[in-house]
Amino acid sequence: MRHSCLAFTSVFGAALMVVVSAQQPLPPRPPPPSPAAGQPAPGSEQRTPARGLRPGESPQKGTATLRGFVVAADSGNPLRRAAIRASSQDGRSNGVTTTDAQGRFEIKELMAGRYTVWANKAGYVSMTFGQRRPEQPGTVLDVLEGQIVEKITLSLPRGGVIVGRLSDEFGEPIAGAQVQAMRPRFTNGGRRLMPFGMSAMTDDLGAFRIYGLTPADYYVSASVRSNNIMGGPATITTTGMDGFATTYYPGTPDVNGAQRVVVRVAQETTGVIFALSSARLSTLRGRVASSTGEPQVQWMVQLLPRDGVFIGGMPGGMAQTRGDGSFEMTGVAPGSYSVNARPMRQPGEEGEVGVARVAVSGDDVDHLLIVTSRGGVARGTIFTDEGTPLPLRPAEVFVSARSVEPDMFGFSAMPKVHDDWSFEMAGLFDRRVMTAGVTGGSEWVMKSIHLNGQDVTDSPVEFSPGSALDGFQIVFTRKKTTVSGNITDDRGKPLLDATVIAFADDPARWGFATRFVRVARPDQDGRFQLQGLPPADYLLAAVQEMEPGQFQDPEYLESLRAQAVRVSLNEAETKVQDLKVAKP
Amino acid sequence: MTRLLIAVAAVLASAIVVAQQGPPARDQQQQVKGSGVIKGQVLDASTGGPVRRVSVVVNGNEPGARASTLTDADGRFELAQLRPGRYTISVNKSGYVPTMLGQRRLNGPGTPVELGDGQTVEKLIVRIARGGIIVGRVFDEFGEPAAGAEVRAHQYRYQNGQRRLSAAYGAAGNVRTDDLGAFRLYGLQPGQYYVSARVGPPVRGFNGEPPEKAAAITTYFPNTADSGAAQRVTVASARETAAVNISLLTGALARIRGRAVMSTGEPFAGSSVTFSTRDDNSSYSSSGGVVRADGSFDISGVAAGNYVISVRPQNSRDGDDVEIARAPLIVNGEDVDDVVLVGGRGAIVRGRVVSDDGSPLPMRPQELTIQTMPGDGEAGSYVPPAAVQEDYSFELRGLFGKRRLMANYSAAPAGLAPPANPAPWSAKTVRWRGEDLGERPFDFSTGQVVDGIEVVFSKTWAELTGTVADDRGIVSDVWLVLFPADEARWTSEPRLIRALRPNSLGVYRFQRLFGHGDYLLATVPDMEPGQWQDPDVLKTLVDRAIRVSLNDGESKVQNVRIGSAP
Repeated sequence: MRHSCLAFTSVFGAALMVVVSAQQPLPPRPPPPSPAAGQPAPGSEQRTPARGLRPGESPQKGTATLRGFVVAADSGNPLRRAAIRASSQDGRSNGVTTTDAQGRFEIKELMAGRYTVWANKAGYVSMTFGQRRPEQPGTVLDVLEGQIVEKITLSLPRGGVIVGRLSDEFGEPIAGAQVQAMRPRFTNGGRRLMPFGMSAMTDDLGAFRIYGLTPADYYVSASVRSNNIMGGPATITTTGMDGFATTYYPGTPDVNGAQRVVVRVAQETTGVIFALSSARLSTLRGRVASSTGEPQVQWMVQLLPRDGVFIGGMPGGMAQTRGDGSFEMTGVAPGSYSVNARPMRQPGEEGEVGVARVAVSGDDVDHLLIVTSRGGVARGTIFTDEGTPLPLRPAEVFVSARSVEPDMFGFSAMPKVHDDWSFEMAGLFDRRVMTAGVTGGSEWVMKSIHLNGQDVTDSPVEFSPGSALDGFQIVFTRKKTTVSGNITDDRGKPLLDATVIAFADDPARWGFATRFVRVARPDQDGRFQLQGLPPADYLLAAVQEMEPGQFQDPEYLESLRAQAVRVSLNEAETKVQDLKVAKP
Repeated sequence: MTRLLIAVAAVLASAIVVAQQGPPARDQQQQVKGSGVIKGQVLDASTGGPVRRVSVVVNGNEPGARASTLTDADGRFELAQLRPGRYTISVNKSGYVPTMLGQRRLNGPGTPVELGDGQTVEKLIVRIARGGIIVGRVFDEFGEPAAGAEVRAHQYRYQNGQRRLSAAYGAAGNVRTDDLGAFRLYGLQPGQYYVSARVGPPVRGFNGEPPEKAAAITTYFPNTADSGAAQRVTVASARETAAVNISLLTGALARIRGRAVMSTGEPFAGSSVTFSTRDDNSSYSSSGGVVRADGSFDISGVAAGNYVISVRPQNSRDGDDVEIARAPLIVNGEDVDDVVLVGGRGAIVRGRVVSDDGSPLPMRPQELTIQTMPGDGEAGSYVPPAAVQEDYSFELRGLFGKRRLMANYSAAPAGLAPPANPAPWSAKTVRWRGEDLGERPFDFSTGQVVDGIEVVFSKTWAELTGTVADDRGIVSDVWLVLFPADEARWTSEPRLIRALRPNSLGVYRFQRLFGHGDYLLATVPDMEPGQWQDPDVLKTLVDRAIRVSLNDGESKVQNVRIGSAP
């Protein structure tokens, strides 16, 4: 999970310092690749997921080779046993290795493609090839069959370190607490503190050391897992215990009172000393019953925090239901939670699951009833706007349903797209935005989704338990819009590490999972291209620094208005718009 | 979203694994409240001051009689609504050594508390000591700090009669190094330890061409892969044992190639190849790679070890009745080119839950589950427990390898009246074809059908009680060990061996004993947990033990007098 966060932040740009060896006759340089369009923008990974290998599929073998070395940014010394990963943007080819005693690496048998090369070593900041600074765009390597690309240098800065100590309200050290560095991120349409990097455990002196951090401003949270003297076997528990709430530096349970901690490259930020905030712990008692009222016996009940911090699905606690479906969790700190119930076995498509939401404020919660149900089912058909079937294999098309609730866990089964282009997706709960696309990219893009005549392309559909929504109509088109151009600085020099944001003029279009806000990176010539934006009036801006996911923040988009260029896109229209980078 | 879903699924999956390792379901018993109260205070063993926020857990001798709380600012705790019975009181706080009430020496036995109906037992004092600390650093083969290495403390313990190096108890025995390679293992019980470090999993699982031919392997302090050659580290209470520095060794990583097909010859295309191994008494599973469309697989980056390698159909789940291919595989650094895995269905077990005397069972079928656990130290997969049907029959499918059958009498529905007097009923044995299997695991072969298994519950048990005294009066700080007189049963039926300590009045009580004839009863001043299962230890007790004959339904009294030289 954390790794994928990091992966989202490593983004792609243009070729910088590659030496192509002449061991093979060099083929003529290929025409400027079209592909900025197919690139996943950071944080918007859902749009065209570079599809991973399907089960049963081996990575395809090619004849290209990447060679290079990894050095420490401060000393220039080789870094040994650094992990290297090269993956092609279409997801079809990839390779991993580690550096040798001289910091060298070699990845062989790659297919031709556009590669991102990524290096990682514990204690250092992960970097993508060509990145000048962490989290800023890197460089995509265009690799041809048979080509040997050499001297790919990745220079890893030593990570920043947060050093501190945790105590209780009496100043006694707290051992075994989990301390996590967090940063605000825009995700699912909201600004939330999200964990960044690895967490640390306090030792018996209450001391912790979070290392390998990308330089940035952080918030530090701490929580004690042993709060959760969790349910299951404990049958009788004294209530009204004092425990600890999740606490933010400098010692507040309120995320709004959290104070920033500045982390710089290779530096230790010391003195992050704070006390955990004590809190009355509650007991949560309830029952899990099926849709027909039968107790769900030996089910897993999971408590997930909803407010403030959402630590990547880390359960706040777990219990197992008893013979009458009842469960009990003790030591629950104040907060707002999702309580998820599911069978010990992975629920199948026919299986029921249940969710309840509960706010805990120091008092015990009794009689929480979780009624489980089969999730809703979505069924429909996939068309093209040309009246012909999609000239693709059904397996290449994906349909997904994103939950609008950030804490709503997807129990949904993998959608099935059948040979007759009908599809079915089960296990859906809550409000979801449907979307579809072609894995690995294609000239065909999703144009619209209708449900019984109503356009639901950009609006959530409510799935009620056990019900089926038939009649989704997903239309693909190849009459897609294209907007492209060059990004330059004030002096007209091409800028390779900028980011282009295209967003609809109408703020009503900026909502959750919108198609009307997109991000692109320039290629090695400073050229960007965005394909498949839905027809609308857009504003285009180029910026040099943007936090991951920041383009989801309406305030941020508003702030770009002044410097943005207006572009109107009609169906199938291609426009060219050069951009100058806006001063931050 | 797709990615988020996958990540979430992974979290859920790992959460479940944790849950399975948790206390067995048999602990979850009916929630019947009593009116007894246990009150006390937790004090720091060295300062004498109160210790706050200590977890206090009381465990009764009745199944499921268990309660927990945290101490308040004065170190005080109170547990109410307890049913009458005999309770042990355990306290635990991060950084301290987990302790039981009445423990006079570390490693020594605790003193149970007898709680009468409606009684309040108060002013209990539990002293808790700060644990010992091992401080050190881990370096890679280049002498550079190894960040993120997993460091574990191990101790020799007795398990099923064998002395084995096992991971130290609790969270204290497991930390990760920081960016300076530094670690600090704390809260350790004073004693002798061995410390290991490792970076990365044993199976790195790369498809095809190995990206690395060697990698750091599990290394014991100071610099050996052989746990037997590891250097001992002595830990004292609240003291730091410093400079436990480990230089990681590298070992060759093997490439494993082979084919995985079903019994029909159809390849297991797209299935993951899972490597399971056991070390430190814990099971580790890792997906090595994927079977190609033609049934071949090619996985590199496998560290030396003892594995069970298995493949099952894509999208199948635990307990599905599907073909699974599995085979043991010993990897020693050399590549293996010809692993052939052929699928087959797991064994099916059918049987019934019965009472030993033919009387109707008071337990309702829905309160019973039948479950299997990997036996004899094998790495086995999780097989979901089977429900017991209305006629008390059950069926388990998809069983492979050595597994023991177990019955859980679990979770009498809260809010419903519990059965009249369920307490004496407990699973006694598993019978097949008239033979008592006791604790022996089945060795299931592919496609086998085992019919007519009887899981036998009984309310008829033997019981042995008595007092322990020496010249000066009652003795409570002692272990009593009860073991079969027949030496052959020491290893074949470890469940017959029991050890406990008397309560504060010098009274001991062995309950639910198997009435198997002649037992020996001996006292020992001190023992390590599980040490009573060591045949060598039992041998030293034989000469001074008291012989007692115990048959089912018998309740005997045997007072023990400890001489001047017990």
